[in-house]
Amino acid sequence: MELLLYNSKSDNNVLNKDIEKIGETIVLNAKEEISLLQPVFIVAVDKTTSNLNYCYCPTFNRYYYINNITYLSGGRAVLNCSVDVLMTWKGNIKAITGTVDRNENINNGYLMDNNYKAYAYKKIVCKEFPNAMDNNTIILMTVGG
Amino acid sequence: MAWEANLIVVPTKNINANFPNAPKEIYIQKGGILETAVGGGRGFLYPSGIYQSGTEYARIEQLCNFISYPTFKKEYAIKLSDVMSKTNTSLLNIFELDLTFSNISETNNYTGVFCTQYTNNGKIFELYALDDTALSKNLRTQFNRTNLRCGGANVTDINNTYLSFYVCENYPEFIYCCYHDGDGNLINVQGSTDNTKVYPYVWKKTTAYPNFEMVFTDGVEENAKSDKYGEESGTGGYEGGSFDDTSDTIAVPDLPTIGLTSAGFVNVYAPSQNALAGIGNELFPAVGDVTDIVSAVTNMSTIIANAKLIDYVLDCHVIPVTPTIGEQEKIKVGYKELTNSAVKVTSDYVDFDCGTLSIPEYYANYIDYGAFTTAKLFLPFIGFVPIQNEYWQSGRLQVIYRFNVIDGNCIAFVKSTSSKSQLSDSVIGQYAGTACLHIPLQGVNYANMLQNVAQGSIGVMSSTVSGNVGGAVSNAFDVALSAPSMQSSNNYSASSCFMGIRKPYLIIERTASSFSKTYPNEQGLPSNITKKFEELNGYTVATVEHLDGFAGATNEELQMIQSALASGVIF
Repeated sequence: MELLLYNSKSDNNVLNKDIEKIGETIVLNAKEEISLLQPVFIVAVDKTTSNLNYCYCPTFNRYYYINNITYLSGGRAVLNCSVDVLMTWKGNIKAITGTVDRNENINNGYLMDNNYKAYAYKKIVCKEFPNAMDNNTIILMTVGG
Repeated sequence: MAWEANLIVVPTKNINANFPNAPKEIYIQKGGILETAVGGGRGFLYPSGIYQSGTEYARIEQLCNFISYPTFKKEYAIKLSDVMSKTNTSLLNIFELDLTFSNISETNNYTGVFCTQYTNNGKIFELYALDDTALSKNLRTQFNRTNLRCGGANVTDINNTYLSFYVCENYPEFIYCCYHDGDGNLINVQGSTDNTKVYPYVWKKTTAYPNFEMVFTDGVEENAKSDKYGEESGTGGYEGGSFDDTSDTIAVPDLPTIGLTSAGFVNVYAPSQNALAGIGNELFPAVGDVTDIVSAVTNMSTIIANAKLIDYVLDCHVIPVTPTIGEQEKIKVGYKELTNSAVKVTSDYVDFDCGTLSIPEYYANYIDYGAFTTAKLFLPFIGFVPIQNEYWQSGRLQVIYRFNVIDGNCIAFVKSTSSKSQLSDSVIGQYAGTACLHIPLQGVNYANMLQNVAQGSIGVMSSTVSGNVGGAVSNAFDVALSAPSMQSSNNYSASSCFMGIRKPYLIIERTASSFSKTYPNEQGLPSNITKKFEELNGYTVATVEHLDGFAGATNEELQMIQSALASGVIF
């Protein structure tokens, strides 16, 4: 079993993460029991290896967040990982055709937005029509002819 | 039954002259034609064209320009396996209905043919047609003499073959029966392998057979009812809408043409203030120098003569607009033409356009509408009225007043043009009000008062002749200077609105929204668009109920993907 170590600069909710490889591919002596979604890898890395927060396991064909590193003696470390479903399945996710509820670029401003915030006061304006009825006229009505 | 709603009525053409009783209109199923069975022919159902039934024929035009679909209600459906059995095993797929034809009877004053269906020696139902012997001959033909034969290559399962009878609410003289399967598909039961042809049987009352009726008795099984708890819902509701949101223009009506100004004997003037004062002086001149007895008496005579003229003044009031006027002419009051003149008012009504207000959207989003932005419109002489945002947002409002010059009432028309509401220069509201200031003139006790004073003056003059001048002068002087008692027959009506604002205006209350600059990146904006996700950029929230094609993904991973998309993913 192999493991590739990375430094991920992207937030967890980014689909296609910006990752930078760290070191060489590691051949693992995996623990006998290893979880597919939350594996624990014991790798030969020491404390001088910095920015290690991401990895990829070709055997499982999955990307993982490294949630915790426990350094052992002898230049080894225990990597507690959890699967990154976004990066792992990004191809399948991109192939989805579905209804987008919210998007920063494709949007319709006339749809209600429950997340918006407003001030406590209201803006009040007056708009006046142009013409006033101020031509007072006397009307006299008589009978006669 | 799918075809129930598909039958339409079209007129037939080129009917054979030998069959004058042939139907003048037939029923056609979408994509096909259906012939009535009057005269004993069988029906064929296939795409429009020439059809032939027995010796009758007609050319049916292509389906077009139909207007409405008649509604057919299924009366009964009989499962053939309940009424038929295979009695002749040498005939493939031929099932015979065990019918017994009674002789013609005269029960209930009808004559006709009765048939009773039995199976396993139990009576299932009675189907009988009541008419004269001519039709009964057709019945015998229809029922193939003593047998109603149901056969043909397409009838393979009498457990799934039904004979249904239909009536049509729109055309009650028609009764249909046809064969179909449990799904409602028509079945060709007469041996043809051409699925486009079926044999529905149609009964039509004609003037030749006025007493014809099809009667269904008890005993028919109830599986004809689709839902014993109520009507089973069908399909529909998402197609066929017209999506026509065009709007008619509701215009301000024309001015009425009949009114008091055209009555002839009523004069309506628009005098100036000076002219009005002059009218008063002319009607009620001052007595003048009381030492000049001749002049004073002359003036008194005028006053007395004019005393009744006030009764010919109907009304005097002020309106806030200029009426439609004609030429200047001397004012007529009763029998008297005054020396003062004024322009004549030529129409009882006058319009005043207060102008147009154009207001663009402030936010150009949902905040401009609904409960987030409200408005009210002030209309002079009327007050504040609510007005919906769609009438003025990103549109134009126009206010036109129409005044009744005679009584001072007014009506305000509010017109709207807005793309949001599909309105184009349409009146969206009309409101009534009162817009005049009344000047009281009626009921003044001039006449009585002056008459009494005159009597007194004569007495004074007599006494003057006799030397008592001082007393007479004193009396007349008092009269001239005293104010007449104002006994009004109507109260002083100074509309408070006359002192108010004379221009309409709109008060708008807007929600002051607070959007951070990074809000779209952090939370996205409402979208509701169907897209392939590979076309998306930026922060996205999507609700995906079904994730297909994720080969190898565990259930937990699929749930995590759904949860991530619902929380927000940056593409």
